[in-house]
Amino acid sequence: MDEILELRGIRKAFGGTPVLNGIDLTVQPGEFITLLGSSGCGKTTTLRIISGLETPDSGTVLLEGADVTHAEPNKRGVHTVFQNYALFPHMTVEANIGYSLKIRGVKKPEIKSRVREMLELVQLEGFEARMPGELSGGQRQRVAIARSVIDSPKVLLLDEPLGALDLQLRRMMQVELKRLQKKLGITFIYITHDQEEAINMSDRIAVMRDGLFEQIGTPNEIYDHPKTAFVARFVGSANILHLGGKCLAVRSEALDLKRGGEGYLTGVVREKTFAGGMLRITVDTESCGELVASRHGIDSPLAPGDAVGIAWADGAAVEVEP
Amino acid sequence: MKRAKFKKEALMLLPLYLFTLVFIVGPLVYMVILSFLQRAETWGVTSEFTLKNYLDILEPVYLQTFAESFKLAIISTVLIMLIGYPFGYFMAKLTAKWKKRTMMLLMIPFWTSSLIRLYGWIIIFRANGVFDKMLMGLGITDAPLKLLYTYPAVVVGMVYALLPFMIFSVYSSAEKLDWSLIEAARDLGASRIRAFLTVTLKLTLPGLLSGVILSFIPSMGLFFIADILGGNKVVLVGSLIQNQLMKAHNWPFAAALAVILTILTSVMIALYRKLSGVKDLEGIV
Repeated sequence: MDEILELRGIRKAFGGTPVLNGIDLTVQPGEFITLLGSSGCGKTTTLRIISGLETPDSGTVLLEGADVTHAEPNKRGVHTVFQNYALFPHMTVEANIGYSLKIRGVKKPEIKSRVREMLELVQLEGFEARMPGELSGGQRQRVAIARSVIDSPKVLLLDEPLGALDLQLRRMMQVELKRLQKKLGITFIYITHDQEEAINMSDRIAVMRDGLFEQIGTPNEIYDHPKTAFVARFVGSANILHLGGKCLAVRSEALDLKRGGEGYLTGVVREKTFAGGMLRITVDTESCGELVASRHGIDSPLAPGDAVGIAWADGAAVEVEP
Repeated sequence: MKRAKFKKEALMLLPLYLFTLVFIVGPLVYMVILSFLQRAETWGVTSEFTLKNYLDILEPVYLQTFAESFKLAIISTVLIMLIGYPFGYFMAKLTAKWKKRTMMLLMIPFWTSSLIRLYGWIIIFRANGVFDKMLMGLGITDAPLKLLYTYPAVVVGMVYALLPFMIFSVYSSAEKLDWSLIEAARDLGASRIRAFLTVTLKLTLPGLLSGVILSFIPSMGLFFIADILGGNKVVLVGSLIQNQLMKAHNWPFAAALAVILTILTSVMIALYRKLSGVKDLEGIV
């Protein structure tokens, strides 16, 4: 019983619309766990229930074994990095970061020195006197993180913290966040809809859909052994094939197309597009609808209208629940 | 090119400047000049310079009037703040539909002249009026309170007349409040009260201060409220000015009183802004 956080059968509805349909989750201390799902799947609500900003209709939230389901948010020792950062606009960077310490009555000189440490940690030395309005998006992000980790919370909740940043900054911050988490040893519960981000950073990923966890596992498990068609599609953008009464997931890069050739399936090339560094070839098949194969490079000898045979290596197809 | 544009813009602003000059600066200057002149024997003023008007104000009876006005303004403003702040704050939390409806309810009374609405209070407050009958009917009192022409009646009148301004300015501040900031404060360990004091109140302070100024200054001068609901028991600077002007025909003295009142309220505003550190008052200044 050394889980830091446990959710048991959490249900929540807003105005009669169910958002969470009984979710269970156990998180180990120091773990980086990501809730991955598209918008509206209930991931933010899950976070708000953990932080106490929302109360579940039923179910239990346990923090270090203690039932905190109905505890006030300020009594939990859990902090959140909000999507819009929610920095106090009327306070300096120093006052923002030192807020939780001030609330707890820590002496001023100590707050000052700990804020300085934090600023060093997030590489914003000398920013004490700035106002949040004078900072760039990336800087605000760092201040928000520093503010949330200064008093070493049991669990840090991050609600799509990189969502507002541009791609380059996002990649940089992914690395930095992971480094920070390792260094501080704080449990991170991270929300994103970006599977790349989830795979890069997480120890475990919980894929969410319609208020339920579809699969919880390490990035490798999720990527290589998706349990359901939804997970295979969402995490690896795999093709879902219904063959011989089975539901198979095959990644686009594993699909082998041969003009006029044989294969498990046959189809007709519909279009070719270049996106995300890969050439994507869309093929219409009679039995399995539209499939996408991807290739490195910017073009292929295949042309729209070509009849192709579709094959894949043994082991490339994973059986999933429909 | 730029110059021409500048000229054109200045030209377009001209009516505004003219208006300000004729209707605001002009009368102010006239008032100041008037306050240094002497009252004529029968009607109007003589163009002789004097400080007598200002020295007259130092007489205890007039100083007393200023003190009374301040006291009433402070009492009314505190009450308006206590009622208006929560009202405006919670109004900002309503759904869009209910915001509109509440706003409407607050606006409707403005369609009637404030004077007529004040007469309504007479009906409520007079001996054996609505208020007395209600209290006696409920068995709370057994004799009429006869509230009309008392100090509390004047206070109620002031609060009633000026409350909407406080509500609107607090509302406009609270409306812009990002509620996730309060959640952030709670999340970082602040109790409800602490979160309110450190975040909500600080961020709605400009609205609250505008409301204070919008209620404090008029309550110094709304003489007709004191006249109608206070009889002649409560004399305010406003009534004094009006009496000197309209009844005693002592224009210079009325002007001197008005100048002092203007200076006092300006100093109050300046002090208030300085003390509160709020530079940008919602809607005014």
